[in-house]
Amino acid sequence: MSAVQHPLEHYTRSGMIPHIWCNGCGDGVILGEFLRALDELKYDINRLVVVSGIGCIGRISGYTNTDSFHTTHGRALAFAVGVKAVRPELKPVVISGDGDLFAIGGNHFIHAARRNIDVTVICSNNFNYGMTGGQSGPTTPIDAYTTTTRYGNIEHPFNLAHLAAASGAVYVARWTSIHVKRMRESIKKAINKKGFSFVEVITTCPEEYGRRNKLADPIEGMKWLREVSVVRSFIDPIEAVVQPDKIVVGEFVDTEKPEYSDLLLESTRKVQANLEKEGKLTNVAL
Amino acid sequence: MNVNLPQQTVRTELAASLGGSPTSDIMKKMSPASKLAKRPLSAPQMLKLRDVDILVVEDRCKGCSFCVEFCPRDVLEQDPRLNIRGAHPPRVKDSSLCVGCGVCEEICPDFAIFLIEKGART
Amino acid sequence: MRGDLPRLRHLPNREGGENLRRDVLTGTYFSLGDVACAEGALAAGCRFFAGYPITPATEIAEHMSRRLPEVGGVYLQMEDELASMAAVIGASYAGVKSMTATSGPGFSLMQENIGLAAMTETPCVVVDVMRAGPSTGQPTKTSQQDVMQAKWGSHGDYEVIALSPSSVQEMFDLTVEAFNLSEVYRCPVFVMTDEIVGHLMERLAIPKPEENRLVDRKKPTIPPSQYLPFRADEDLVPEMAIFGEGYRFYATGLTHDETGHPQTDSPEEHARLVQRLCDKIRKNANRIAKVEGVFLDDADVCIVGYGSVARSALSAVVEGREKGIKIGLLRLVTLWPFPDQVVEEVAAQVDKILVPEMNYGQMVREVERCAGRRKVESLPKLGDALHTPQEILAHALS
Repeated sequence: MSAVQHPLEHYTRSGMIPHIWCNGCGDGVILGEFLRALDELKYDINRLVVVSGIGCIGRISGYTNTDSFHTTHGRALAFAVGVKAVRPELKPVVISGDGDLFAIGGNHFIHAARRNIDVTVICSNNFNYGMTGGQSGPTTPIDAYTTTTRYGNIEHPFNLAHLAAASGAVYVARWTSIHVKRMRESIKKAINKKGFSFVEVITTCPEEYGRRNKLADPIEGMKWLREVSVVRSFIDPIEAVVQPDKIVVGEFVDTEKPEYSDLLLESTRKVQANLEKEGKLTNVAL
Repeated sequence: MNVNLPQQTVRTELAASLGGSPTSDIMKKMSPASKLAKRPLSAPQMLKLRDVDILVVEDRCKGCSFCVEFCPRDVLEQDPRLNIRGAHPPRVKDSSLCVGCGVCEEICPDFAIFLIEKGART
Repeated sequence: MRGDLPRLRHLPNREGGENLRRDVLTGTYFSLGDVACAEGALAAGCRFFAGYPITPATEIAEHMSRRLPEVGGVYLQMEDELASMAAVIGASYAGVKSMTATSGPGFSLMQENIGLAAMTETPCVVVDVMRAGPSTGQPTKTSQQDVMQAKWGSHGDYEVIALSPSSVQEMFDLTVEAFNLSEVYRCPVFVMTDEIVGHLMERLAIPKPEENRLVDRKKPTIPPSQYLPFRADEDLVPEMAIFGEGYRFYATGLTHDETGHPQTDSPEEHARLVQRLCDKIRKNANRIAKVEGVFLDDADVCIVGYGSVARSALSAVVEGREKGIKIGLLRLVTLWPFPDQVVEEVAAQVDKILVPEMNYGQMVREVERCAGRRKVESLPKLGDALHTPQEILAHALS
């Protein structure tokens, strides 16, 4: 009986499961769906480079049986850009949190999207900084309670789908951790998409955000996600709001645009063709 | 866009009443749509997607009970025993109800429950 | 070649022969310091540059942006220096020799990821063309004010290697050396130059490719199933797998064990890792640290200098010797690891050591540590002014 393994076992690093995430944490669901997506795609795992930042979801790179790197806070995308630029045959997948990608990492996100570099970003958005105990972040809803907004949050949160679309992403989708099948389909599409693709997953954080905002029970959290989500694919991302009483989910952008590594290769070839014409290019491996 | 379900009334009421987390107010007024999920079917209407066994890796379970709660056929329940983590893992209540949809396996955050085709065990 | 590459003007090549390779432009040139550094990187096999423009290092970025496509490399202008350093680590782990170049303010921004490079043992080269600081300071004026930052800039205990070119030729040679050292020791290596050397135009001789000794990182000698990414050999340096070759390893900035996985609870694991990261440089300090001694055999007074100040100091020493004064020069080619042993030996022999620097007294502290404070005098100079030989000689004799 014990010879039978979980179907995704070989996609995880041996000995690393069970992971450190809390009871009912949406990050576990994201990990499962990511691996299931790879399995369904029959993806060449050796092509993947999973890059994560700092935060609970940042630990994910230690659980996937792939080439993985756990960077400093906010710099996962810049690292991934470096990898893709020199090895265009590899596919970096950045899996990180709302704070890592959009607070400290915000600058790197918008520029990577702007370049349309072939990287997939999966963002676990749980409305706070869970790893450090539940502080507010750039996606914390107005009036929500966190350890650093004890009187209620007064800052407007980002609309991440809108931000990604505005920065130039060619695929933008948002689901929640209860939308397991649709999240998985979007992840599959994002990985196969040539260009900068972004999948936001709104997740529960029962221990930190949940506990302070009447969503301490993991099941209540999931039910809340199911209750307030409404699917509105391909509406204008600016209208795809995320509020305590309404989370607009769906695919919002799916378009085509020349991708960075292709443009780089084209440009390099032109330079070398010119040099060859002038008789200046010999003996250098390209 | 605005379909006339009772949900519409629920949300407008909420907009007016702040104080306390908005989410707790929503949960008190669960829409009818989600209550439909638990309606049991009688045996002749059962359509199996896959004929499967449910396997639980008990000691991985952290007790979130997503599988129990979100199984559309109410196949699972919490085992009164505690596992090595002090959590109640799931156990199968009635395996004849299982249609092999796979939601339990997909929704589990901890790789603690999965389905296997009947007869595929080695 | 004439007019082909500005700031790298081809002089008649005494050895004769055409340039056959675009990555090593063998020949003699009249070159800008920054450009020599870029050419040195290319000759060393660097195929990735990520950077951000900053005076006085911008010319390195500009030259790399022009030359890298010619040799099939990649130039990425990142959105800031934090991203530049992160991209350099990414490219290095993807298997490509990588570098960045900056000045003080950018160097400060890079420190966190320099720590990541040290922790993940990433071979990479960081050039700092120093300018007057702190903060924005005087962007177009020279200084040597970042030399301590090279050693202590990031948090935690770690060791780095830092080289100090004094001429345009050394900008080329020491950059090649920097790449070699970073590959051998799997650590960030700094080329700490100052704006004078960076913006100087002087003779540069680029040797033939076969005359350049190049080193590559140790590749794994065992299959993926047995590979432990941070298991070190006797030289304390682990074999380095790169992405996309089936090794599927995990690297993190968290304290980790040989498997690469986090070990955030164990004091023993932390001590073991940090000590190895430091010892791999410390134990090899004597082999790494390079100095140049001039007229030291019978010297009573020694000038310890580096960078462009060493050139003034050399003139001072020559002038002094012509007047019959027993004065010598110890030029630091390597700033870190500091050449403790050599400085101790020299200190035992001389009566006085003078340390002229274009800062308010930084490397002098290291000299004092090795030689004792009584014998050592600091000669700081702030502001865009190089010590004159006369000034150095006068202080050496007083």
